[in-house]
Amino acid sequence: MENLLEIKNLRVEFGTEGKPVAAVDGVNLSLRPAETVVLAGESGSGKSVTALSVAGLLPPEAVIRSGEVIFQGRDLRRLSGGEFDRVRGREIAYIFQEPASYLDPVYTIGSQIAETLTLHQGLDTGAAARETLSLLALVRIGEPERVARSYPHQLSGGMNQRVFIAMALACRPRLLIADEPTTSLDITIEAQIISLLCELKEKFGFSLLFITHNLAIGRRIAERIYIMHRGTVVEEGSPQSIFNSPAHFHTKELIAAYEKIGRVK
Amino acid sequence: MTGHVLEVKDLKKEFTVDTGMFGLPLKVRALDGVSFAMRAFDTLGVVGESGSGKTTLAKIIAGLVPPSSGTAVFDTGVIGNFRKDVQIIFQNPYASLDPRMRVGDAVAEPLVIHRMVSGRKGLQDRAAQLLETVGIEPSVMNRFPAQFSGGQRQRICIARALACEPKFLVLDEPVSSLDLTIQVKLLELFRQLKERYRLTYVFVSHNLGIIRYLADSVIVMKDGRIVERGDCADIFSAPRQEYTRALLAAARG
Repeated sequence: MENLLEIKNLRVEFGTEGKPVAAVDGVNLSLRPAETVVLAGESGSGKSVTALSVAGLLPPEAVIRSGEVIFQGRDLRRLSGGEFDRVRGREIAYIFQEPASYLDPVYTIGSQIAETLTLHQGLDTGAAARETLSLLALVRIGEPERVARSYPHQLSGGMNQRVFIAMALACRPRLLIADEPTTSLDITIEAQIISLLCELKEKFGFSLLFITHNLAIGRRIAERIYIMHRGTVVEEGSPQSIFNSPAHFHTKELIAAYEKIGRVK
Repeated sequence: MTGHVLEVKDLKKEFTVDTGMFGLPLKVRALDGVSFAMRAFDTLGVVGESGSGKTTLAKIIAGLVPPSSGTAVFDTGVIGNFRKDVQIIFQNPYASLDPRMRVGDAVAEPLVIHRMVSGRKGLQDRAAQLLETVGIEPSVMNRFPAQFSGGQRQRICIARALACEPKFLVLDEPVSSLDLTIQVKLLELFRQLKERYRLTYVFVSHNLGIIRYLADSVIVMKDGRIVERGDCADIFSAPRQEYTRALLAAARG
């Protein structure tokens, strides 16, 4: 099957004045339609920078020096700003580690979700409001009307992440990038959010690129795992092969640490 | 003499949260009647989710926060000088070190305060020795905290705590901000130090894997209360409480 996303030989540099540092150097990654791929690595390994490159969300001091990001057959790097805006948010959605810092504190949850719907789907106000409530129900929020009237600070971290997922799914994206979406949450809430993402993926058939430092999540949800270290992909494989017969030194080190303290037997 | 190094009785702690100009102050009960005793040279794991009260408990034990009521009493036979013998290590080493103090001076500071070593040369030698104990090359003692990684900074905080020759360490999520491979290295260091200096640990963590790796006995906390307590092996193999089972199930995925 043709790949939905293909990253070829990506190199991203930071600090372009003086001597640039490559945060990502020669990364190749592919993702099939409806596939779940986990991109795992420690801090500074380049996993988030890789993901941000796909979504065109790199900070201004970062530059894609070379490589291609091909999404549905088109190189995203060649799109104009306007063309990219029609892909991002609509076909590629992104959820972050700290949902509350990406939600606007002065607007209600409902109005922020409705804004996505009017902007990308062209719905009128009434239709957007109705669709907002059904999206909140979709992410298993018990009282959609009350939550829609709430502001982000009135909700817990787990609830805000559900809201963010609802917003991300508003346009029925083909690709959902989840960048450490559960890292700031308690483990019982983390387990709920992971289940929710898997359930929604089944329902809508989007591809999921899940970025995490937590190998336990990789083992649980991934069809394939990429292990990143110092800006490169050091190993790629099924969870079985990564966990049972890791080949690269760094993967072995990660698995050994995971077996000691990351995994609760 | 009960054979216990620490006895905690009915600890309660309320915080008053200011809700703004017109709102009435809100009382939050962080600890709601916590009692336990622990043996010397044990590692007590305190596990719970955010808001369970585990950090408040750690701070009260370390004497940094007074309880609203209740007591935390150390055996004076073991803990003769509380300020020196009980030390705490925090989650964020970036915040625990003075950014303008050279790390050698940071490690030597407790030696000066407790008048344990005197003279410039003596202080320097002891600081070098302490840094070496935690795996930091002593030649870097003139550098500033910003020149070290998170894991190295936490090692420096450990050296600073060890400078007092403590008997009892309160470790409040000491590896939570670090990468997993670095976490394992630090936990191994904690194990070695415990053997070498006959230390007693209270180890606070939200990570059940770490608790299992390090603790002898475990307290599971929720909403300011102890939900369950027991030997580490029992808690993991035969949890009695529903909440403990739910935590374990979430961690096992």
